[in-house]
Amino acid sequence: MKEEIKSVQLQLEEDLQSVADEKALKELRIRFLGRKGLITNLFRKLGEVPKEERPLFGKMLNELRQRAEDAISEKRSRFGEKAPTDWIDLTLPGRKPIVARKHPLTQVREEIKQIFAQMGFSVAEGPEVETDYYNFEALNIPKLHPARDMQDTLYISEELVLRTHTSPVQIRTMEKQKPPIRIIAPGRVYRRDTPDASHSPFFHQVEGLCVDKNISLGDLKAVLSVFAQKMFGQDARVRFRPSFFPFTEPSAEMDLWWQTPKGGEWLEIMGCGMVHPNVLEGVGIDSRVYSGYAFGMGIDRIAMLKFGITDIRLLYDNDMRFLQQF
Amino acid sequence: MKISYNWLKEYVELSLSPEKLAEALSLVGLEVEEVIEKRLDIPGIVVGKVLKTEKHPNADKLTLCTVTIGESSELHIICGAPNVAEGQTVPVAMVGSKLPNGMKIRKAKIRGVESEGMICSEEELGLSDHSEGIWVLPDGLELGKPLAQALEFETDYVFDIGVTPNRPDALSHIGVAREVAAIEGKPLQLPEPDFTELKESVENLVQVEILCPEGCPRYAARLIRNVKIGPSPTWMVRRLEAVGLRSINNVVDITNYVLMETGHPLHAFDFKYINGGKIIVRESKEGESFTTLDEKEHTLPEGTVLICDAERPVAIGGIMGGLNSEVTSTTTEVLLESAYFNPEFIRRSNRVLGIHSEAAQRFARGADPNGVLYAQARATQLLVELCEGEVYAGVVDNYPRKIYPVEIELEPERINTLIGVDLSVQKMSELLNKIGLKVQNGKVIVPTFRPDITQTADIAEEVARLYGYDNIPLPENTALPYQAWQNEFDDFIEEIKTILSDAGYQEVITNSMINSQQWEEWTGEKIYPILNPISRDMDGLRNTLIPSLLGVLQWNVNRQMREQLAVFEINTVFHHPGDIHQQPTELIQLGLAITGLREGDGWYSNRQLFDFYDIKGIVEYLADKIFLDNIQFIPYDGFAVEYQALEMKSGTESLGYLGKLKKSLQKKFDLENPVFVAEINLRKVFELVQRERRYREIPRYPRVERDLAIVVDRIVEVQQLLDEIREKGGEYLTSAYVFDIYTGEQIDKTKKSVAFRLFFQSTERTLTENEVNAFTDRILNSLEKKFGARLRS
Repeated sequence: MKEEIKSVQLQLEEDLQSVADEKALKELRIRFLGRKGLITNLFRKLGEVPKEERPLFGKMLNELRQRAEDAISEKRSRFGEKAPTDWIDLTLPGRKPIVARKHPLTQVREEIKQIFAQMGFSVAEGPEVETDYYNFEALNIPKLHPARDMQDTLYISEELVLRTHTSPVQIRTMEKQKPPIRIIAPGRVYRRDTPDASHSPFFHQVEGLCVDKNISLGDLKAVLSVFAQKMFGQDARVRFRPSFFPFTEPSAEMDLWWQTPKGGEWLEIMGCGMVHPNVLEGVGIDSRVYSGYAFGMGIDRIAMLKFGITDIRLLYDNDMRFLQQF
Repeated sequence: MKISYNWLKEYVELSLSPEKLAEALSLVGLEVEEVIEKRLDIPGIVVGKVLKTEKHPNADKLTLCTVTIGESSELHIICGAPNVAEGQTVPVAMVGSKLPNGMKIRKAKIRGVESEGMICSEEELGLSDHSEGIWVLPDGLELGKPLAQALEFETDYVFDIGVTPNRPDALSHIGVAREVAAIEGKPLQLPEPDFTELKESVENLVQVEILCPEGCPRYAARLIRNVKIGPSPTWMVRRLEAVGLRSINNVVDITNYVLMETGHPLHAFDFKYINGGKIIVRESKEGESFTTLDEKEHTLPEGTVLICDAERPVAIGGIMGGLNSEVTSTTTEVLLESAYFNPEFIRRSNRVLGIHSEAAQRFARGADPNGVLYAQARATQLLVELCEGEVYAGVVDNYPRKIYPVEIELEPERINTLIGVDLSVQKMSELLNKIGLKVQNGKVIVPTFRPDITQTADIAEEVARLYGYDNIPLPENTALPYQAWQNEFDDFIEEIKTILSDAGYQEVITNSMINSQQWEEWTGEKIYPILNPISRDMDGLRNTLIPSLLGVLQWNVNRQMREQLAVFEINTVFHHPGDIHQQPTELIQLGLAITGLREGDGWYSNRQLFDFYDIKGIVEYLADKIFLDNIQFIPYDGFAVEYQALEMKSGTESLGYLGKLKKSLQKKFDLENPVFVAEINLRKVFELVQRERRYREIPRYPRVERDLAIVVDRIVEVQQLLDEIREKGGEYLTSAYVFDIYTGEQIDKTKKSVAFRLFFQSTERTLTENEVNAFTDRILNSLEKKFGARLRS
């Protein structure tokens, strides 16, 4: 009995393979499940086997019949009576709207904005063509100051420059608004650099400024540490080391630990510090009552780190094969 | 600034390894950018002597050298350096050795001749960044001896420190050693200059007169006679090399050595060229010129500090000495200048002169006016020890504008608040004391070598960095202002970017600096120019986004991504105010550009190209999404678009334009398929957006639908018909749109059929057939009268 069931099963599978149209399917159905069909006959023979073996063979036969029915109905859906209009090739790709995204720099800018928004910072703006006063003088960088050499500047005229950093927005904000102040200022900045893999004559920064009573270097460390963790993950390690900017005192550089397969290294991520008393006094804020911190980072640099981009020019080539990766 | 680890040991006991010390220096604010290892104890590098040289038979520039390394056998080595010669003592890398740059020395055939080693340059041995030829060693070294032993070369580590502009004190070994001493908790040990003087006083021989005490507050001169000019001792050559200086002769080397040691620039004059034994310090007059010791003639800006003798200038003060009085091999009497120059004067002059000397760099940042005599004494001592000089008694020290240490009140509370710590006065004093800042009677006395420290914030930085930035605790929370305002415009820009990218437009970001000649030609508008552009292609600021976007299309089409391109950018454009002394008008614009197949080239694409209705459609879609109501489109011609082009208006205010790109521009950018563009002023749009939303009741009564197909002249615009329909449709007409346009065989060639679908609805009751018919009749009559419309049969 067992052999007979097996052989019918084999034959069923074999015949199913060769069924090409509805007519053949109909014949196959009759051949196996019809009144004198092979499976039907086996059911009849079930009465002849010993009682104790019946449940086992019964179960096998039921499974075989189920398989035949399923296979037939599946085939029928392909070329059954209604099939010619219903059948479609399910493997063709779907009709989808064009997939497009925001530029990776925008994505990073928005992420930075959101992180700082959660800590009470709102967005402030300033012009890209700045006066010498806002770009330098008010930031404690008088003419002839050695710090002017730190940034190669693009000029419009003696008194107008393409802003070399987003820091002028600090001054514009403090002129308009009294403490407490908590702003970030994202925007485009310019330097007289010849383009190469790590330099672009224009790029993007985010400036941050917080002025209130009792603001300390500790607060600055706290805000930026949280930022690093939200941007680069809970395990992000940062360190602060003394540095120099004319518009902050004390000043610091924040480094991020960057793990690589070969080990790791500290990477400079941003400059920051406590707003210089000269800057505060210059906009009429009493530096004996108020203190504040400021920071500035490159959006391009953060984006390059985050996405593993090795050439800054890729960000501005706008090659679709690049942009569509983000 | 290059600082040698071995040299530092002169002034402070070092327990930290070079790597650890480098990190510690970075953490106190002297950032070590690189640690360069200088070592010669490389296996297989030995002293050799060139016995014979002959030309390589097959190569002009190669020399066959026979070299002995002290054993009986001789080595045959091929050398490519032009300076190789018979009799030279040279470093030889033997077969099997490995150079610091990773090169392995093997026995090899070079152009058919075998070479058994290599004669090395300093560069190849990792001692210098650049060598002109092989390293010729002093004679008399033991042949075959390992090079490091023969030269008694001690392995060194050179720190390349990025000294920030506020720290002129750190531009010297003693300055860095002071920080190291603070890190190590060890005392700073300074050399104490000691030498005997002649009976005869310098004052009888040298007079110093300062006519410009503002530019030169101090000038001190010493006179040393019987100086023997010659080479410097090896230890000094080695130290100068380590910090990147070449040995010239013992006198020049001494001034350089003391500069690198103390940070104070000195200058040695050949006294025989100092007319009248007189030094007069004055400001230059207009048009005066001077030749510096590098044989360059400079026209001096007025007010430059000049060092003169009785007759003529002999040096540009604090910047560079003159060719007419420099020390040479015939010098016997040296006038040693040690002075202090006002940084402002140096910067102002050097802004024009552009002389990047070690002296100018230091005086521009601020040297120590009270370190003048120490540096001079130190150099004098070395002139005595190394050049057998004899020193006239005393110094002519002219110091008309005395500069005293600054005293700053110690404000512990303010400092603690600023840093976010709680340090006692005693702790602060201890920290400050480590770097030479004494606290006395509640005041911090700032030595003159730290001109950057002028107020409490500066003291706070010193305290913080010596305490360690890493040790400042992080507060857990902060007080947030209740009245934080949000920037709605910035949020609006983000929203627009979301809408457009969701609609299949890829955001791009392009350069705002453009070729102004080209753009002026295209836009017919004056471009806001850049005074010192990087190149002609970036000599102005753009006044529109469209050509930038066309550039993006071109870039991608050229790289075989031509099927379908839809891009947008939101960025600033600049309009010339007519006067370059005024800031330009900066506008935030949205630019859109599309070209190629509307549905791409997938299996379901109908392969139709983007057309006018796609660009119009995306603009309308955007307007709908942001609830920009009541905008009108009127025919338009602009620099970028024509014929199929519309201006977008709200009342009389122009918001932007859209349409088909001009053929001329399409050709300029090599774009094969038609291009459609739009440019919109987002600030204006932002102000017009309807932000208030009020619920309107959803009608409960059924609406009545009527289709109206009419035949009109082809040139009648649908918008006019729709306006008329809406006007005559009455209060119950809630919606009307075009659902079909037909031109073709069934109607006259000059005509078209337009089919409208109208909906009538009341919020109060069900409208009757008759009522609706009355409205449609009225509409039809009016269309017939105004546009000659006929109902299509």
